[in-house]
Amino acid sequence: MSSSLASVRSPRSPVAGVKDLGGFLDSIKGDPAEYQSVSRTVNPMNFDVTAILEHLERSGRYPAVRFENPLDVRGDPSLFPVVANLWATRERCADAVGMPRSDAGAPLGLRFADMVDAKREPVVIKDAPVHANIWRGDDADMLRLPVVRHAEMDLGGVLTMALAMHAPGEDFYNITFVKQFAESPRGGGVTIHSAHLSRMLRAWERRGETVPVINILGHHPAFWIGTLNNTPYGDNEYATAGGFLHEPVRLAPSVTWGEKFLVPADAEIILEGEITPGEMTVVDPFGEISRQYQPQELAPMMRITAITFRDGAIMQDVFAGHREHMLLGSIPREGTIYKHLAEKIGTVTAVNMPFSGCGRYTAYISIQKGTDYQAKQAALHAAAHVPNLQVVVVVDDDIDVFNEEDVLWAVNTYVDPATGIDTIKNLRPPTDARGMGSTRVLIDATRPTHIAFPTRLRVPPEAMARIQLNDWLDNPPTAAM
Amino acid sequence: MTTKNIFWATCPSCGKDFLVDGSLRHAGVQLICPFCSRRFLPDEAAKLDERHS
Repeated sequence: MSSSLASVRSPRSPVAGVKDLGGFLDSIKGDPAEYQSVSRTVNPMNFDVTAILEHLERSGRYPAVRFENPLDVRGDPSLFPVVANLWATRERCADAVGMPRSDAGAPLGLRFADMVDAKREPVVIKDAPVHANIWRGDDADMLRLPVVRHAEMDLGGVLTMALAMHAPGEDFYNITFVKQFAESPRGGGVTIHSAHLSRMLRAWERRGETVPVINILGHHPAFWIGTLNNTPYGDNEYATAGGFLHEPVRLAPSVTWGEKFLVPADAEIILEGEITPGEMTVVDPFGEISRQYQPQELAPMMRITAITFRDGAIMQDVFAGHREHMLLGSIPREGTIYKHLAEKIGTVTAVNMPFSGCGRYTAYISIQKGTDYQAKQAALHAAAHVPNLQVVVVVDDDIDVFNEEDVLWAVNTYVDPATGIDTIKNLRPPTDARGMGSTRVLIDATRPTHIAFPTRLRVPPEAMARIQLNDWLDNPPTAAM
Repeated sequence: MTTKNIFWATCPSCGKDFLVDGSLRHAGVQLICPFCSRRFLPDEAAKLDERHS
């Protein structure tokens, strides 16, 4: 353990049999479609990082990208590389939790929903890799990190990973993705909007005590996926994350509060800090999940007490408002909706929350329709179960909900606006500005069965199974065909 | 349409526009321009667009 300021990168010291971010990156680094590195110096505060990611996205490529030589907020070479875009494809999310890529469609959300129940209690260890290096006091300087400024109107650089917190006197932890603005060396605003973190914050505030909180800036991707599922208040999300990792999360006493606050031992970098009730600061604008800007507002100030990091630490960042941000939330919700509908109506076949709805506000649901009103029933159940949904489209099970062209064909062909579209008004408005505001739209895009109605054309399935392209084309373009 | 109460503020220094939550309109809090870091009260903005549904 070192308390002096490190100025050169130490080699990583992976722990045998323990999953961490470096190990995951090693597992994908041989495939250029999955992993790219940038050795040239980048200035994350000058949009170099997000411009590279945006170019890749516009060309239909979504590799995880490791920036080897980023500058820190002051413009000096940073001690830490930064990696982003880790979850930008469903296939990589499947990799992260040990599922085959062939299950990256509908089964992925369902598997995530099952894994929530496969909790593994964390274990506490003494010698945590994340405590190999410790910066305290004035050395705990957030501006030495390669903080990324993401979108044009953002109020400076923002750390986009997750806060962990527990309520006073409780031993369960909630971990939620938030924004932390790198306002000054020792502090910045944190945008706490989630129900569980807000509840914990209020519990501390009622006691008039400072709130212990950590910002975890890197861990194995399965750890994060585990924390993103909707779990009841009181669930220990370190245990949920262990279920997704298929191994217990290793914890260690924090540097600031000792055993009163346990931190993930195999994280890359951890900011320890405190929120003083009532101390607010200006944050935002920030380009958010809706691909619009969150307006400037006030948020609690988190004051840094210590920064700890493992040898060879890599700082993780989420490309906000883009695919990885969307998938992080959509896949767990798809599983949640599927399980809920399976219980309520029993005929759901697949759920997709598409990128066009930012992975949050729209659900495409396919069902095996038994009765005329089942589609509406499914839409209502989904909207009630996931309150952030604004548009729910229900289609028949011969429509691929992961093929938006298919879904919109069903909408264009089957929907009678007089009977197939319902709106529910005066519900909770979203936290950002959107045209639909407090209204929800439910669309029954299943084929009408109460009247004589055509069926969709198709080439006979028997013929499709019999004819394989490679056997027939003189010059088949790819092996994948 | 029921949407979040927001407004646009035009920075008195650089003239660029940015988005602000309605709760800061009369809170006595200085806004921070994301483009030039100028701090100013909403009433000191070069322009405000407060149209709302």
